[in-house]
Amino acid sequence: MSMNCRQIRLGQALGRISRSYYSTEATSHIPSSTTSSLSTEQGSYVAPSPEQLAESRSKIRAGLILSRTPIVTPEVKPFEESYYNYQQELERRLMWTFPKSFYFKKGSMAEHKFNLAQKKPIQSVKGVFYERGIPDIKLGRERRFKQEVVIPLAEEEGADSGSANGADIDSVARRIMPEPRITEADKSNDVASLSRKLDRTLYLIIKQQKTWKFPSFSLEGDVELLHEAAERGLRQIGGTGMNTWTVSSTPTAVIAGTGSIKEFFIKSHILAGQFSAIKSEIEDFAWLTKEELKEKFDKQYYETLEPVISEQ
Amino acid sequence: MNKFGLSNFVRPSIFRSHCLGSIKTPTSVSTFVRFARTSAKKKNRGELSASQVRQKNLLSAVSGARKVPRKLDMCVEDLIRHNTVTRAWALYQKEIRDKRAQNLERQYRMIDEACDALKSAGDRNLYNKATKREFGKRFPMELRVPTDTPPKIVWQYEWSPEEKEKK
Repeated sequence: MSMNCRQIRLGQALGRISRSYYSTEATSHIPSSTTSSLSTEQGSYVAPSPEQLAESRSKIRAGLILSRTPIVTPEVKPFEESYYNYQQELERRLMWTFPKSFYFKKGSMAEHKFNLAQKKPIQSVKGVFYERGIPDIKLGRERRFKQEVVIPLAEEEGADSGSANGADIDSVARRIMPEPRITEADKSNDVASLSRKLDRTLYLIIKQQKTWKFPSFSLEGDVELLHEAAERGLRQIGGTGMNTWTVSSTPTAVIAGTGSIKEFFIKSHILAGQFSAIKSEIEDFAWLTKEELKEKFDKQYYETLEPVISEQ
Repeated sequence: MNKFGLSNFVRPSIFRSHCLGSIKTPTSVSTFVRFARTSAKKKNRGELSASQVRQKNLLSAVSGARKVPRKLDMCVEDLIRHNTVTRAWALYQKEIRDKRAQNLERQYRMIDEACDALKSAGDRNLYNKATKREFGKRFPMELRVPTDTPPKIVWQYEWSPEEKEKK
């Protein structure tokens, strides 16, 4: 087989694909990938003339699937949430008594505050009927139920609850306020913004001649590679203010275009900066999720590339 | 998972006929024996630092038996419920796993197809370079792991190539 070194590489890149799918082939190809098969391979391969090369290179286009990876974790589904809740309750129920003496020195003010904050369990008294069974208390804990450890609030916490703004942002004692997962860009549905849909992967698509597509570029010169062309082309249409990382130099998909033109797709991630359309031929651009891409793309185009586009 | 469909975290004590549906507490007292006070008295032989010995004593001041909660006794219905929940979760995880594996397989085939098309496209150099193994390729430092809530500055919009050179 000719795919020797490629298969090893891809197997590595895919990582989690079932072992049996590629491992036997990959290992069996390792020795041959070094010298022997390549040389025999190239023996049967006739190098094209410069004109033929230029002709064939003009029929190859480098497409770019540029994505912004998720910034926040995916939304927890109702089933997941209830399962996590159940497990947490079970764990709390089976937890050993909180080792108070480990955290608070005996007789200290901190221990006193902690004691005050705790809920006192009902003591068992002889001759009293208890509806939920006779209390079983050891070390101040009702052993039949989960222990609820209440952390006493700091005194100043109530006072400065409203001062989570600018002035004391460097203060160690400031209250931690989590940032919202829904941003301004989400509310205004600004598709050109990179700070929208934080829990999803966004893909860059551009509008040319009234059709939405992933950006694609022709190869320049005699030696430019696919991933080089994709990165170069992106900067030509979107400016240099983008930090991107090409996942691999191997194309991830191919689409046969009109007139024997083949479009090979290279995957890349944007790490910083933004795309700003500087060429007039770009009518519009957008950062969209998978479902939104489905609406924008031509049906066949979407279906061909569907497995490459991440659902999350 | 054991044969009852329960994780090791909770296991039914089927060996005792009088408590059909019961779940033992996960920890046993015997595991705490090595933290017993007696060992600390024997002149800490360089094994633990003074503060570690203090912490050890603090934790083992009360015997484990008094800190363990009561055994969780589930009735048959509760046990059935527990098993159902656990199996449903396992099934859910399997579905996710299968879907992911299937998608990876599809992606693999697409790469394969693309490489074959590239090979027959005429420029063999392009194919050779594209399928060359990249040794020592690493994820960039700037790529961050998703967190539960976003950072204060959600996205760095201003970036110039000089910034990369500085680093």
